[in-house]
Amino acid sequence: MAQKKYDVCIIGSGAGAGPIAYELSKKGYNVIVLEKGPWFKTKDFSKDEIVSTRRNVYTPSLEDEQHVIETRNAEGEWEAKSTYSTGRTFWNGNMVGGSTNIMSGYFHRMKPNDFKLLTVYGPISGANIVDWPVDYAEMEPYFDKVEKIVGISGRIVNHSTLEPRETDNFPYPPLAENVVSKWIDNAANELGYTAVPVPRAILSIPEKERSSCVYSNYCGSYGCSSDAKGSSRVALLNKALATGKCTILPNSKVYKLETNGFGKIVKSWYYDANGERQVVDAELFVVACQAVETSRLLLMSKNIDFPNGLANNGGLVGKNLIFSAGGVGSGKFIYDDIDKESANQLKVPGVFVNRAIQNWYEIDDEDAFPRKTKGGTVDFLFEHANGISKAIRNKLDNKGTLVYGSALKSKIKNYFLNQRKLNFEVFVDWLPTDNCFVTLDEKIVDKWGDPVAKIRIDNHEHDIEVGSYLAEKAEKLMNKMGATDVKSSINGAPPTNLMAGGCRFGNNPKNSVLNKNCKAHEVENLYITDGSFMPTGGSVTYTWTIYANAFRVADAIIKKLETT
Amino acid sequence: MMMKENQFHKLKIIPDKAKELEGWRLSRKRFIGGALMAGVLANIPLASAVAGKGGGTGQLTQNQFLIIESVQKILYPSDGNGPGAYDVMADKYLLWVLSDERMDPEEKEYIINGIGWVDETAEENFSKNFVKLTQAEREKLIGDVSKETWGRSWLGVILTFIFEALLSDPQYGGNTDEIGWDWLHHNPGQPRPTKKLLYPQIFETVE
Repeated sequence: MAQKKYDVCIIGSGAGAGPIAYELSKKGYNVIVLEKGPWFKTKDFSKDEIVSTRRNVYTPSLEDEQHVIETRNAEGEWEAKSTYSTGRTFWNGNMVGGSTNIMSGYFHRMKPNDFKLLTVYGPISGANIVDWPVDYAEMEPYFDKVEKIVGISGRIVNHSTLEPRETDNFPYPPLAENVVSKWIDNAANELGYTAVPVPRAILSIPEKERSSCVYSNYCGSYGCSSDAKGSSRVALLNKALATGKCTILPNSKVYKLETNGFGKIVKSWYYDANGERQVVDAELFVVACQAVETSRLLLMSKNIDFPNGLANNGGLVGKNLIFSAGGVGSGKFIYDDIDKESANQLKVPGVFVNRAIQNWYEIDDEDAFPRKTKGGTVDFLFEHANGISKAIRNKLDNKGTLVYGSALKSKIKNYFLNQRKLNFEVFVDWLPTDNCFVTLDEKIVDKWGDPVAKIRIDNHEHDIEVGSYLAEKAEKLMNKMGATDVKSSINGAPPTNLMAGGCRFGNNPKNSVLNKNCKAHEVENLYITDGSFMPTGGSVTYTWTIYANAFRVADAIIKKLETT
Repeated sequence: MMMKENQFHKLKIIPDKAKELEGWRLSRKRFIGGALMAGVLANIPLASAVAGKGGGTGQLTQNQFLIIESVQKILYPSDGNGPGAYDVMADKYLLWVLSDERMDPEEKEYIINGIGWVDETAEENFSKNFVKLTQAEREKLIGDVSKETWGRSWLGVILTFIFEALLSDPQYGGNTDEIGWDWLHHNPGQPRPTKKLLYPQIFETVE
């Protein structure tokens, strides 16, 4: 029987894939989505801490599929360790909808200067900084589109780095907030900071097919049971399915893109749930497997046309991997130190903090940096409600000695009952360097026998300087609020859930993998729409930008298909 | 391979993943097939769980079980300040963990080896088996062990599973009548898992 030929084959189903499936199926094109993970439906999610955070359920078994992580050891030499040996997974959400199912949905737009870092702030030695081939004005309509289609709630306040916008405010009003948000506002006012309300990809009021947030108190790391969270699955793929033009195949792991000898992809090969090799034919292919796995798939797809991997004749695939990172900090509010009414309000679970400071998104402080420097964002959030994780945090004392017995029980009881912890996360514009990239490991293979991704991770010293500068401002705010035990940790170890780069876009094929529309320079029918395209990422989490860019690329793909 | 009881293990090898006391969580090994150990969740007869069969299912011998039960009570005692390990059935919970066919054999082996190392240290320090020690001697022993590199890691792992027994959904076998949640005024999120959404049944439930 002749294989059905699709117009578009999308590999992956997260933030980079959803907008393509949504837009193209609505236009009547036949779309197939190949997702390596299973298909959790809304009814399959609960707030079970064991499933969501204590076992690998939303991520693969590390025996089956590991990564090799290469970092500098104490002597400064590169040392590679597999995640199977360390137990520290580098996977995020492996399921239909990808990690957007389990994101917290702290959404920030990139700002105009983020698109021209080199021009505005100049070069930094050891960092591969370039301007983007598109500017904010070109991206703005798509940021706006995400607000409406994925659904973003929030409230605009005027501040020094507010992005220009098409509309006056968000389509969804802000989510309910804890009293602590007001405390942040007050302390910020006293210090001359501006506390910016943080937009969230969470519905505050219902949409046609989606309920609004039920304030379960278990958002990040957990699937959403009300469909309020703007996951690719709920906000986009479910609607693509409703057109009747979109097919989603879960448990389908693509391992090779086959070309026709003339630089055009003709087939996508994948393993089905039983490990059998299967194939899909399509006119056009879109890869969106999250940065590391996208580069890996390209590097694995070697053939006569592309002996070093698909779209890699320029040797750039996998290079300039970046992370949305900077550091973390915290402070505690001890109930006995505040009046009873305030303590009771602080204890209210579920409602959000949703505040950030962006006063130092651009740092103009000669005492700290000799010239104007790209700074960043500090987001404030409560410690996660996960009970087991909170208990685990009490295992050691300040000296690293194991605490146990009655002393441990008292410590845990005090931690749970007498305080609430406010955390902050610092996001700098993580600099791309020659020492942060993806290759294929030469020895370790996955359960199908294919080489796993090897990831070298290093950070630029400048990231630490900016992160420390921002953390100091955040600590000052925490102290002003009356928090105790205020501290921060700024280091170069990035969180693994916010990654980008590896296939940067640009106008010049000599120094970029993709063109302005995220089509591979070397391949006529390959688009990459996850965060891989980003040469730099702004001092914010990436997800809104990934969604927005994928909507932009969807328009380019439609234009291309209409003309051919 | 399960280590035989009373076999002395001079090499106290700590897997990399157990060195990170706050970072470690259980890995899942490839699931080959066979019946899920769901029966363990629902009142597994203790005698059959600790019948000393050894083998690949992770169950303990009677002696291993007595040691771990005693260690758990020292780490998390029923001291009048909230439930102890005994009250949340941390022993039964750990047996469920060890019977998980998806659990990495290396991690399972590490947990079981540690019991042997404790027994071995009892021999070294007191010239008798752990089970023959008085309560005061056992407490002294655990105090000493907690200061050793291997002991700090291993006891830390045992504590993690006590915390899971204390604060996970009672359907997993610990947190009896939500006693752990009540004590710490902990609000579990809604919706709570139905039986088929629990680990590991969820793997059979989802497409």
